[in-house]
Amino acid sequence: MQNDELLQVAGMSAFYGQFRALTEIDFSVAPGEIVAVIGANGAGKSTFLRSLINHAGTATGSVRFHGTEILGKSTAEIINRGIMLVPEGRRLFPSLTVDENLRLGWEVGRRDGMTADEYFSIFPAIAGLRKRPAGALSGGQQQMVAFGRALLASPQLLLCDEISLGLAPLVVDELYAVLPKLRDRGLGIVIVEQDIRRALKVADRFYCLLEGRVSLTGRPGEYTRADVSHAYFGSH
Amino acid sequence: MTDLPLPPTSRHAPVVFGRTIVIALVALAVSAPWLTDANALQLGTQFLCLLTVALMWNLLAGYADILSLGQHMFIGVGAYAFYGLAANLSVMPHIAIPLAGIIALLAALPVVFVVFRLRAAYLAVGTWVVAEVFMLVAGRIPGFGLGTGTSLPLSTAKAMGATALDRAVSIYLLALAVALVAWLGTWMLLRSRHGIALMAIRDNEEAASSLGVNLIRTRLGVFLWTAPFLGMVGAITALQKMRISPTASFGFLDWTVFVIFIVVIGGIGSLEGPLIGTIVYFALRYALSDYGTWYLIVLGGVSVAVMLVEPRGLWALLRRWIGEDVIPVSHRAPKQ
Amino acid sequence: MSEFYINVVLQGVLLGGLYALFAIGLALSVGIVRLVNIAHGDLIILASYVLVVLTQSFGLPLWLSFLILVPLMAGFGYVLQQGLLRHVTDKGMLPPLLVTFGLSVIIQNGLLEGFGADTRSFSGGALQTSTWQLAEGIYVGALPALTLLVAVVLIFAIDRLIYGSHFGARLRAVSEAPATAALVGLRVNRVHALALALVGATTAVAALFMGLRMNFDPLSGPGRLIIAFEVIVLGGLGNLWGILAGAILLGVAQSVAGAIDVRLQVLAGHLVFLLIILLRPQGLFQRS
Repeated sequence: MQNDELLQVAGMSAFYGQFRALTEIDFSVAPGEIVAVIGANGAGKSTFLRSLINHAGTATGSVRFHGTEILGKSTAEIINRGIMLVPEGRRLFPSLTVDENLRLGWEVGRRDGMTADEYFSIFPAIAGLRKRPAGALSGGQQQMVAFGRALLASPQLLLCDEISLGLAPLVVDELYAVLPKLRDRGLGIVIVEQDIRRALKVADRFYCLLEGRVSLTGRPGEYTRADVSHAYFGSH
Repeated sequence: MTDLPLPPTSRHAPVVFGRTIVIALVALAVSAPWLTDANALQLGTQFLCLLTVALMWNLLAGYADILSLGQHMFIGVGAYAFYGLAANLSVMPHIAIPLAGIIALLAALPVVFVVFRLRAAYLAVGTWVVAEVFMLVAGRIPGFGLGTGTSLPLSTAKAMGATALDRAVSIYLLALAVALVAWLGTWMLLRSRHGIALMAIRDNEEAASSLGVNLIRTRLGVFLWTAPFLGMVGAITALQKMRISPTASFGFLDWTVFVIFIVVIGGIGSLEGPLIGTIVYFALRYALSDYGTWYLIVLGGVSVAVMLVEPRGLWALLRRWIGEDVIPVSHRAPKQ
Repeated sequence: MSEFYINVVLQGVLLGGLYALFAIGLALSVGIVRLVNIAHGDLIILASYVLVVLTQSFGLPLWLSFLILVPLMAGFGYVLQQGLLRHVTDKGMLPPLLVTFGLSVIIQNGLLEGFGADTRSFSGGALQTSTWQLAEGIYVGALPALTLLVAVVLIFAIDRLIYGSHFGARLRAVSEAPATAALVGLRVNRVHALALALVGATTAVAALFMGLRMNFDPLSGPGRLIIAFEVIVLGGLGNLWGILAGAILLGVAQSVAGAIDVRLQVLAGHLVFLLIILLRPQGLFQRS
């Protein structure tokens, strides 16, 4: 079973200097699976995602991608192997055009997956904005371009950090509707999300983080609200 | 470092040792006129002048986050002001020196107005341009020797003493007085409310500005603070050399290049750093004096290495051993 | 009389071509790597001495020496970033300034040690002596005119590279948001090193034309740095065509002042610079 996993994390801890942000995380994603990571502010969700691409503090333990250890490899190399992040706050290059932003994704990736044409067929709203500076786009459009930058890198594992943050519900619906389509193409997807209900609706499995540890994991239907709430907030 | 069960009131031995050295150095500096000859006193004067300038450059770079490549402008202004007062207006040297400091401060006012329009790294080169302007203008003032410079009149020398030793002692004591006032003043400044603001800038600029520390005003104030001391050093150096000239009085190599190396090697952002750096500088100068350009290459190489390995210089290495500041500037609760 | 001043202004404009060549590399360092490289002028002087070695010690013709110099300096820029500057690029304001400051002193004194303090220049044959008459009493030298032309072509080429190529998009991305660039998988250090290779190549061009037009010695670097710095601040940081305008302004100011009193030439350039940052600290060609 283990060899079928796309990503296999075992006993990962992450540190910012002396501060331990994550403790002994065990985690896995299979191809064609959407996994949600939920948890309160400061639980370590973003740190976890960024640690997977070696872009947060220093991590120990094991992170295997397609069975190969990638912990400690450079961000550029990990991305080139097929893991790409849609960062929190979109983080486009505002003075670069939409095309240029997308093209950068293509350049850092494996160049064997989604093409620009396919991307524009998924997000037709962006096709008319290709020559615009990304900074001139609305928040929702920027999030779509951030998606595109990640998808054009041909990832097999897509990491989505707080993609609903600050966006109108209709736009968020549109973005979330895309996730199952990507799953059907065989991508593994990890979503970090504040909006638990939305995350659990789309996810096949979830992990709940509490103070840097996994406090609960399973399928969304397996647990009661109270269970999840307890894992989310800790024992109060 | 030590696990000895010291009683709570006692200090670690290295701190006591460090403070003993500082006190011994001050005692040596004060008693030097009775212990040594004119040559040693001239060297001592140079040491104190360079130490004062290093302290001021460090105050800017290490505490106020201002990197200046043009502080030699105030040395030159002080030297020329001193010449104007002592030679042209026959003011007594002892009075002309503090006046030269005040003139340097007045010169700093428009400078601040111009260079602080440039931000961060640009300010560094901007101050250099202003220093070039001062030097070029100094070389065109009638009555000050124009481009080649001029000597101070003998009467100015005579006012400092009858014999060479007397003169060396008087000039040395002036340099010592300026150095002590500069050190005590800067130490008190760092321990004041403004000093705490400065250290807040040094340690975390964003936090400092969110705490309402007025960054610009504090920085301007520090820049102005350095000018009179640099001006007085310029005046004392002119008095010692009995000469002013645009290239020497506004010497970039002597008053900016060497000073930067001193502070970087000794340790930016501490009061101990400039002292250590100046001692190391004089030792290296003594050891490598026959090697000319290699001396500068070594200083450049060492300071690059310091920035790569330990940006807080030799003092940071020593401090790890000593465990606390030898010259304390922060109001910390006494250690257990 | 008016012809005299037309000539003076024209010479200033052409001098601006040389100053633009000094400044292009610094503008790229500042714009892409966010590095105010105190050793920029010394890199130009270093390149000039490499030309001295190639032409005089190896006896190669100047044009061939220059063709060798360009990749040499580009490689030097690349290695400088990857081997040294990379370690201080994101460490705040002081470390990059102080490391390049130390580098500047090392280059100057290394050149003094190797070549002595004598001034040097290159011999460009007829190019240096021929002049064209544009109108009655109005002349331009062939070399100054060629210098300005090369500056214009170089700025145009770099402008197209930065704003019209995929590599340029990468440079802009790294310049604009280095942390984001790293987060999405760009090799920021490598892009910085390639930018410094580009800077190195421009110093080769600057070195050639400087050595043809004026004398230099091992300590000439700081003077070139200050001119380059004044040009990029006047032109507005991050504006390539502003470089040309800033350089011409500085050249004309120096040329006109020099015609009045030759000792005023350098001072006038600095004063124009200070006056303009006082009035328009964002530079002449940048909106505030």
